Amino acid sequence: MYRYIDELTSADVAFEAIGKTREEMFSEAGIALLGVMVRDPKKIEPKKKTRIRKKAESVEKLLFDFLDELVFLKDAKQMFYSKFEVNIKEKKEKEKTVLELDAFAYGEKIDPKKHDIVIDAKAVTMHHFKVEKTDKGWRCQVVIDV
Amino acid sequence: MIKKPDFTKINDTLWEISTSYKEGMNVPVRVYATKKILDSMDLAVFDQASNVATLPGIQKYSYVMPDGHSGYGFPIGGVAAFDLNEGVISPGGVGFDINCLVGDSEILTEHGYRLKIKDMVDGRIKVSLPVLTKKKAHNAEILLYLRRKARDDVYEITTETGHVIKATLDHPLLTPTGMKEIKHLEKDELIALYPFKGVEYTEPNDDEIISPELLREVMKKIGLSDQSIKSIMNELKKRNLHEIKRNSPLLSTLIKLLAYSIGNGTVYMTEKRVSSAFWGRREDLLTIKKDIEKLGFSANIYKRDRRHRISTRYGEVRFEITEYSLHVPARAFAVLLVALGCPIGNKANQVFQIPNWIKESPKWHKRLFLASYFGAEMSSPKEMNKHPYNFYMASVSVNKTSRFIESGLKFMYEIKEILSEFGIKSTIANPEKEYSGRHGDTYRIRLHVLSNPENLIQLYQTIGFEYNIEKTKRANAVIVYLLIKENMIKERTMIAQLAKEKYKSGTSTIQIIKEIMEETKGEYVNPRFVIRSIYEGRKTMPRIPTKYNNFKEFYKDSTKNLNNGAVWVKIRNKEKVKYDGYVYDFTMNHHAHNFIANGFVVSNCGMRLVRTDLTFDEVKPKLKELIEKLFKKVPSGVGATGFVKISKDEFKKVVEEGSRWAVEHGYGWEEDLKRTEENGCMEGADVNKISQRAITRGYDQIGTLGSGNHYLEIQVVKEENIFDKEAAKKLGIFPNQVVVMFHCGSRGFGHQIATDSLNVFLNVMESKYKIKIRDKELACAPFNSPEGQTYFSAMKCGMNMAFANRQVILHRIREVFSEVFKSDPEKLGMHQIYDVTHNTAKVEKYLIDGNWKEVIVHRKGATRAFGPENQEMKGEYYKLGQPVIIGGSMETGSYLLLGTKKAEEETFGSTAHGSGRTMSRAQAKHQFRGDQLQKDMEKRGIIVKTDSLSGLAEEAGAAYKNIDDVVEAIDKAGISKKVVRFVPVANIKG
Repeated sequence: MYRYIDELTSADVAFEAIGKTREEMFSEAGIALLGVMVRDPKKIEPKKKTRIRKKAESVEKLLFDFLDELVFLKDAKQMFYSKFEVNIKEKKEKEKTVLELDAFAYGEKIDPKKHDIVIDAKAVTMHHFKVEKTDKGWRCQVVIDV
Repeated sequence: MIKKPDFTKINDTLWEISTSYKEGMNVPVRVYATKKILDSMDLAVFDQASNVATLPGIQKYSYVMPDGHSGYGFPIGGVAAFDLNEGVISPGGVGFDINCLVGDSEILTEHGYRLKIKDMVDGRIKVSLPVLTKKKAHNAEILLYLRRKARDDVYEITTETGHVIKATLDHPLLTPTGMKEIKHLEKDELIALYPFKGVEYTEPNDDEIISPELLREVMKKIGLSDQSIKSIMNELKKRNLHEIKRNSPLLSTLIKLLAYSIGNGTVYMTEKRVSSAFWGRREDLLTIKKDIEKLGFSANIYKRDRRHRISTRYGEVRFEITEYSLHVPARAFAVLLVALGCPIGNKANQVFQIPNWIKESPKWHKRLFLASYFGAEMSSPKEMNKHPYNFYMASVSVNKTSRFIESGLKFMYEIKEILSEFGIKSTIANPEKEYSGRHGDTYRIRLHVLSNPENLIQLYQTIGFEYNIEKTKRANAVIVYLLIKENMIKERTMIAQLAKEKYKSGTSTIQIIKEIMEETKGEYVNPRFVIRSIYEGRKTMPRIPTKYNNFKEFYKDSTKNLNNGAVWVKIRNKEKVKYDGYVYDFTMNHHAHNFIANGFVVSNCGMRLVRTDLTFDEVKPKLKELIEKLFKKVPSGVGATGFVKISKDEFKKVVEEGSRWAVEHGYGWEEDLKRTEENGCMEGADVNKISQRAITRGYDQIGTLGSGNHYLEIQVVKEENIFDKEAAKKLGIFPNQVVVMFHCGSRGFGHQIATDSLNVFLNVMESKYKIKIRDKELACAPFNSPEGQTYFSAMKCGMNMAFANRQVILHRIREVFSEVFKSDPEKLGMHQIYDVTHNTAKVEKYLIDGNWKEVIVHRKGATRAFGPENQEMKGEYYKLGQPVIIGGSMETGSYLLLGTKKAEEETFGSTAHGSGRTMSRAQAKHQFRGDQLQKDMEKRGIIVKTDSLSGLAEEAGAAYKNIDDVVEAIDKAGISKKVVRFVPVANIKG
């Protein structure tokens, strides 16, 4: 589940994504990101598969890197992604705990005629960036620079 | 809640927010706007602009342009210049981090009162904390509080002085070898302790201390003319000093200055002038000078070698000293001091007492008064000559001529009284004739603070000194010395007692010695002491052992390499404790670190304007064809790839050469470079400083317009819109002319650079520089660090890519026009007028305080606006001045202006960049429908071509400020001069 938070910023777009598990939250955040750029995320068919692997010491950094990768792929490969299979593992490295993300993103090449494009997501910002565990699961808040 | 600022009107288009608006502001904020625009600006702009004003090294003012609106940390439409050496390159100065202290920990604030961390966290009480670096103590503002539940990692450290700190394992403490986290600290290790405690905080009420009526009364009494009174009142009003209440944020500083002035300063009148001066050590006068400057007055330090000769009771004494003094010429400042209670002229010859309002102040205000008075007047902590483990009484004295002895005694009693409120005991000596000078017999009245350890500790720990670094250092060392000494005596007494008890209960002497020595590891006693305790029976307290340092040696060792009032103490104990509550995390704004922050200069958005010889009548019939072809030939929108197909390697050349690369590869004319800011290339761009990721993201995007507020517009010059006929002619503008204007930047490339740098900085900040940040969006690193310099070079690559992008798009535009009108672009007269950037940080030279200085000028959503005869503009527009291109919304049109000398003098050569949004994207999406908007605009004669009707709604004209208002404001303010206004007829939006 996700929703856009209109009150948070004026020149950019903010969203909140919720999931029962961390993985679900990540998936919802990915769709929310797509929803910033296109009117209807469902119009993007999950035809092509891309693997995304990230490693970070905090769940915040992990989410940031995941979303940043989607923004990167949009420009580098001209791809939109609408479906995600996310897997997050905790590993002990030296003395620290490290989070590893292994995900598959499904989408298709950007087609302005088919996809009702609203605006370009230029970057994921750290502005008001939040990831927290709630009694219902996980919640994140992200502001996208458009 | 952001406080609405009190604006001081400088003129119809210039408003100032004084430094009293927010604690820590180094300079005022200056807003260029008409009243109409000012009233509609959101408060966040002023909040951000005043935050920028707190940054170190900022020169003159923190500026806001008429199109200002809130951004990330730095307002959009914001301009600020920083000194190259002391300043930051962009927002977000950050300092030391006080990780994870428990909520009950008390923090000492800048004004000498203590607060519990958990009480500070709601941000209600804005405080500065003394920040300890090895070199100096600074006061730095707390920027951020984070709070989390303790995670079974709370430890308690007890020092040999009995001080306790409770914090998490990663809390860093200062040791002789640098900052070390608690988890790495061991017993007996040295850590830096700042033993001053101060007093508890109580909120002052809002009683008035200074009112305009009082000020007028005082000035009349002094004998100032009506004219002078009026003028001084204005000066005070300008600085918000005409009405001061007890809870005014400026009062703390005023109390300190007042008290110091009573101790070692003077207010004096000469004919009709009244001014003030302070004496002391140069380092302290510099601190005082800064405080006075923060109030808005200037002050200057003078040096004088003086010869003194006086007869004292020790005989005639002659000596020569170098004397430093700080002079404040402003009458208003002197009058203010007098109104607060400072006497005028020679204090020895008049009656004066401690001002009543001080006597009725909250404790921490009284403490400030005493501490500053003592900083000026009290003897420096000194060990006795013959008993080097003990100290002389701490004394202050006043000199009075015989007639005024009574007043002097009364004054001392007042001091004694206040001291007793703090639990500090003192005595007053009988007045003694001090010397016979030119004015008759002068007596000295002394007050002595008793020198028993508890009393001295209380004095130095709760009152301490202000405006005297040397005394503060010594006093802190005395506190620690006495505490250790006390502790030692206490331990020895306990051990003596223990030895006797053990003996009584039948343990053998040898056994007792063994047990005690094992337990204490020889720290406090030796075997001989134990024996004597058992046999000789002590009647007096055990003295300290001779191996213990006298104070002189102690001072030297314990303050080695610490120049900030902290003292090295040993850790006596470290243990894990059970703690269930919250721990707090701070970040402070500290100027010992110069930072380069990320996310500031990102995309080098800019505007380019190109003229044609075509009239609208010629173009109108072909307009649709033109815009369709442009839409095809200049890719725009999300995921578009550019028409310039190059390899990644070639791309690397682009980012180092900028527009030049484009021209050399056939995309444009040589003259285009001369008509571009920076000649289309930022020197010092280094492609090795950017990531592969950025290159991968960006290399396909050269020749793309982007989306959102990026656009390409065909515009028309209407005769009535030419404001400066002569300038227009020189720029090649004529009535009914068709021009093309477009707005875009470095696309994904620039953004990736920003994101990459953000990541680098975040990694390095925590591990290398031990810094946490206020807003993670403003991550940063020291400017002179490898990371900082890397970012600077990378940023320039982003800018060059944008220059190249705009250059190739210009080429496409020429090609399309050429195709449609079947003629060469040269024959069509398609010369570029100019290319300006909107988001930059550049090193430029300006005249500041009479000196030419190199500063880093930040223009965030602001345009450079150099005037005529600027060295930078040698060539094309030298006589005319730099063209300024300002874009409005897609419905209203844009302007061409010229920069002015005034802009160079007032705003570091800067002006507005566009309209600025007034409505959020979400609101605009609700209010407008893309397809309807497109139809409406066509009816009004503007063709809009876009693939994103949904995005179009967000760009509706009503969502932006009125560009005419913005341009009116800057034209009136004289920082740009209107030349011509363009009306849009066709538009491509990504």
